[in-house]
Amino acid sequence: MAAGLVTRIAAKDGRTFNEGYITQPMVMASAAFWSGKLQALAVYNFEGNTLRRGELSPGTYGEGYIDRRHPHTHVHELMLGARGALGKAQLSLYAGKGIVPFGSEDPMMRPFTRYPANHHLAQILERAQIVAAARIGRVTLEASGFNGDEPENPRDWPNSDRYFDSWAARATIAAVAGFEASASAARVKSPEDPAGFGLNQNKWAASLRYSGTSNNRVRYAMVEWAQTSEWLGPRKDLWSFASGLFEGSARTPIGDIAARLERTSRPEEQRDETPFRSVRPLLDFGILGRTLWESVNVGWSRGFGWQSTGNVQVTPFIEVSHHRARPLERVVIVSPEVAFGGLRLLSFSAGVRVGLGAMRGEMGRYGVASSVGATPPNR
Amino acid sequence: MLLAAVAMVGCDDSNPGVGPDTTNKPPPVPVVMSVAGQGEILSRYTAEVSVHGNVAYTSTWGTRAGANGNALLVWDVSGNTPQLRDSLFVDQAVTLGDVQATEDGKYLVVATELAPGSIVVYDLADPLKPRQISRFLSPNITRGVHTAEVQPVNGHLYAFLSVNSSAFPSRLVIVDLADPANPIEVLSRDMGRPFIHDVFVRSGLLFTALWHDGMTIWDIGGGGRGGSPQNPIEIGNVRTVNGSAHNMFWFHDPSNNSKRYVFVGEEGPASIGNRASGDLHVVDVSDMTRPVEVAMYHVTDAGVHNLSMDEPNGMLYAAFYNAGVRVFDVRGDLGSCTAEQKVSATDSRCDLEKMNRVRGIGLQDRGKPVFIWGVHFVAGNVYASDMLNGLWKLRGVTR
Repeated sequence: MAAGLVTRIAAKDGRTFNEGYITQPMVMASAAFWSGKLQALAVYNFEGNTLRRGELSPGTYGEGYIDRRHPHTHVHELMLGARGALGKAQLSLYAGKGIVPFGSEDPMMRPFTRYPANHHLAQILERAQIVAAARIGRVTLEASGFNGDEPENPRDWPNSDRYFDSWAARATIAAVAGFEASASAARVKSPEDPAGFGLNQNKWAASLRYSGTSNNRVRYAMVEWAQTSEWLGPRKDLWSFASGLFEGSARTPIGDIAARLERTSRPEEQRDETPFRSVRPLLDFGILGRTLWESVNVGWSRGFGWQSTGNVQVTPFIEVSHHRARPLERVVIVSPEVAFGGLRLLSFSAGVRVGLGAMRGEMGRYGVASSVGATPPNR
Repeated sequence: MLLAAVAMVGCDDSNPGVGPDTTNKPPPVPVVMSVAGQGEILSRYTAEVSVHGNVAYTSTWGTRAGANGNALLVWDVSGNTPQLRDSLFVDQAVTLGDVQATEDGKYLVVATELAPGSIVVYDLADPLKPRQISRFLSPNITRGVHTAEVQPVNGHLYAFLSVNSSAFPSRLVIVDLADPANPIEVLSRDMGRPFIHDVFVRSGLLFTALWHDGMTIWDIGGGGRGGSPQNPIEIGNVRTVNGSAHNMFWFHDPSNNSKRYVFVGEEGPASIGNRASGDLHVVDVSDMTRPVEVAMYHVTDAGVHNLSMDEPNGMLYAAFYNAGVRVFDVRGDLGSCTAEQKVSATDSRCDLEKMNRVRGIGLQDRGKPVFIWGVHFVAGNVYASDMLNGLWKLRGVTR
């Protein structure tokens, strides 16, 4: 699958950007053996080739990008696992590089093509890990040991000396038809300094998700809360960042209509020679204040499929967003104004998503955890 | 013999010196430092300050309202209020993190950070009109020079560059400035986990602040081990509590010839402009081969940064970011204290505050936030560079 889009972002009393991208280009593959008891999953992502400067996205940050969403690593996922049963419990064990059982689903699989600002608060991606999962009735428990260091570039691999220095756990309950609730916690060692000396993170997240069937007008809805607190040595709770997000999509005669409301705080960081890159690791492990990003996003999309030509899916889409950034501290040394010339932004994106072949319905849940609840029918 | 010689460098203080006599006297109360004047700068963030005679030089940092920290500001500080006399701009620089005039006042060295890292050397024949005479670049400093210390070693001028980066190990680069118009790199050595942040050079000894590797002492010509700037030889190391060893000052007390203490600044994580963290650590270097931390000072929600001293009066001045300027009486024995003066029942270090060693607090009475990067004590006055507000001139604290 891949999406081509053009984006126009204009700051009130500030600068205007017009950019175009091929975003989220990837090849997915999966294979199952022995009646599904053994499974392999792989996603190869080409954003390192198409999105090296990052995708303009006010409020997002992470992996050395700021106000641009970073490209993901080429090997986005490569997991191998087995499943079985012990009494009433269904069990699975997966290992490889993939999505850590924390927070909500990879935004790539959700209604909007453009990512929310809370990507690095509500997901932990592309880590070498071992994930164990147990499912008993409606309850699923997942736990992972993984490397804390985040990718440094699209070609980067997890650092071998950082394996299993971090952990995450998630509990999910499929309450009633279509609804599931989850809560997760993680301790991530020095994600931003690959040498392991940087700030550590305690992370929490909780979400309630509804996934409708093809007969339901409301196809998908989710409300989530996520928080990350940073600490170093004896200094606990140096500062924290939090996010509240609601998003949903509904099917209408003219196509799928999606909405997202988000309120996310983030660190401001020393920017590189360009206004959209930050220095990694942070010099002296200091941040330059915090800002609060509030955004209202609406989107339209309509999918067309041609089963006769190898299951081709073409989905044109339009997304419109309003963003507002506000300082959360008395002094914010480097304001996002550096990049945009203003703190109120209007963005407009239009493009088309193209998929070929069978698409996976979800990403980031492995083995017995993967079938909890329905999957969002956004793509 | 070598060990003995090295130990002697810092061990000529059998007399502990004249410390604060608090017996039968009420403990001294820290004074509020008197502010003589302010040179306000709101267009850029101010970084380090260096003063020679009646001229101060301040560097600038980061980006403020679209203006990069590529400006070197020249101040006339002969009066109470610093007067801005000139602004020099360094090409291809985002941050000028460090600035220092040489002891003889002939040259000024400025470090540039973020690529391309460099040092720029100015001639100070006219102190108010620095004239660039060279700019040193090297593949070993491309990522950026975080700090640059300029000091003579056996009469020969060198610059000591601390280069931090994630792209390759942090490293110390030493540059021969015997001919300042033609700097020559004489050493590049990887060190520091993850940073080498700063150095202190005195009497042929080099002190390196190596973050979580603590402070290491090197012979570069005065330690009796055959070391030189071209080949520093390690003498000793101490891992200060909490790591994050950031900068140092080796105190030579002229009142008793004591050279017993090195003050180490710890730079903990900070939300720059708002709050900081990191304690002041006191290291006893009586035995240079086995330095040991003996005392500390802590301010909640604030952290220490750069240091300066009024050595004849035994007063240490510390920039403390959002906590302004702190002044300490550091004469005498800092490693002996009562049980009540120790940090805690489980931490045997002495607490300078409990020992009533704090003598002054500055810039906490301004009615506005300050974030003090550096201090420089010169001729009875203390010059404090404030990231948010520019340059302050304060009166020094007398004994």
